[in-house]
Amino acid sequence: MTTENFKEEYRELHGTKVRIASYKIGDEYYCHVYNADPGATIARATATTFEGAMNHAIEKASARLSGTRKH
Amino acid sequence: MSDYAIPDVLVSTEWVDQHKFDPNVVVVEVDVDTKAYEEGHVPGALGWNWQTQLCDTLRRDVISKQELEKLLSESGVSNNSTLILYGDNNNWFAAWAFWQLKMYGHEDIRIMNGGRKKWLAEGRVITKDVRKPEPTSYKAKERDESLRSYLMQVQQAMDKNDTVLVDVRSGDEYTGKILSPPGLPETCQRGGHIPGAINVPWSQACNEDGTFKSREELEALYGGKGASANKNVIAYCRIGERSSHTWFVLKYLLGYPNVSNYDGSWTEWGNLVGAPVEKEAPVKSATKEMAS
Repeated sequence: MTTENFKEEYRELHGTKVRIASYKIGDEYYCHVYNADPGATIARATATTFEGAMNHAIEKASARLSGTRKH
Repeated sequence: MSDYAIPDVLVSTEWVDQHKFDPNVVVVEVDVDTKAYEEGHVPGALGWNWQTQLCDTLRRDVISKQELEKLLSESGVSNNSTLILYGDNNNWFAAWAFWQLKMYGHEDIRIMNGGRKKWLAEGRVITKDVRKPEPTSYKAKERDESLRSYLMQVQQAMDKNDTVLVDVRSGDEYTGKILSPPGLPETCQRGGHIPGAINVPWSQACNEDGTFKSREELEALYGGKGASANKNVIAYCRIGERSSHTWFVLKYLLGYPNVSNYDGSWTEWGNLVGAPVEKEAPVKSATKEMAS
């Protein structure tokens, strides 16, 4: 099998720049949300649709990022 | 890749595709995201978990010689194997594995330039099958501590003009605006950086596709901030893994003779009672010229 439709985009969530990677493997769509620097995974999701994976991953990432304190 | 100081430490995705099943080649994926391997990986590649397999899980330390020998033996790695490491996020944790394996003296280790991201983006074949390697009896060398810096060495380095401390964390971590990368738990009591350290975020060494920047670009990046080949360079970050990536760049791609990784990093320094902390960039100059 191969990865299809691999793409990355940058967005801002809760004041933090994040990198969102999405792709399809087999019948499943994957979405990973990373903090732009250093690039650690904040959230990931798998779904049967692109939108489902993306929305779920962003929802989980938003919840985690809301707890980041600025000093 | 031929213009790097030691070009043999890098292989291309194409090379790995052609040689992944060679009898003397062992391919291993090491990811930041320890679940990524399960989604699919380079056919024949093994997966190592940095949180459980590449550290001492009881006390804070790198993997022990005994545990490393066990891991490599179970992975079918022999002392003369060509070990290919790759991983997600610009080979972040592949570099962490590389650093530890070099401390224990493995000769032939290479990193797949561009890592997992480039492999996936190129649409190369992946699999969820996990290979069962034939066990070996790997014998590691005694750990080479010259590749590592401990707290006391860093404290002494602060007073030396011939040493440059490179903080490879993000600008916001360096200035103490945040105590940990966004979305991750705070693991230190104070924010900022070691006085005199310059800031070169680790990922600036990479292109958008995950490959390393050219030697010329890397020399400008580090040399322009005072981390040049004629200095002793100590890289640090939060827990020592981002700085192992910078260590790899400086030592192998630029050929700096004296580079070490302070893996105690900010989770040690930022929790240390009485340790001096700076929040601003060094005042005197980009190069560290502290009074000795």
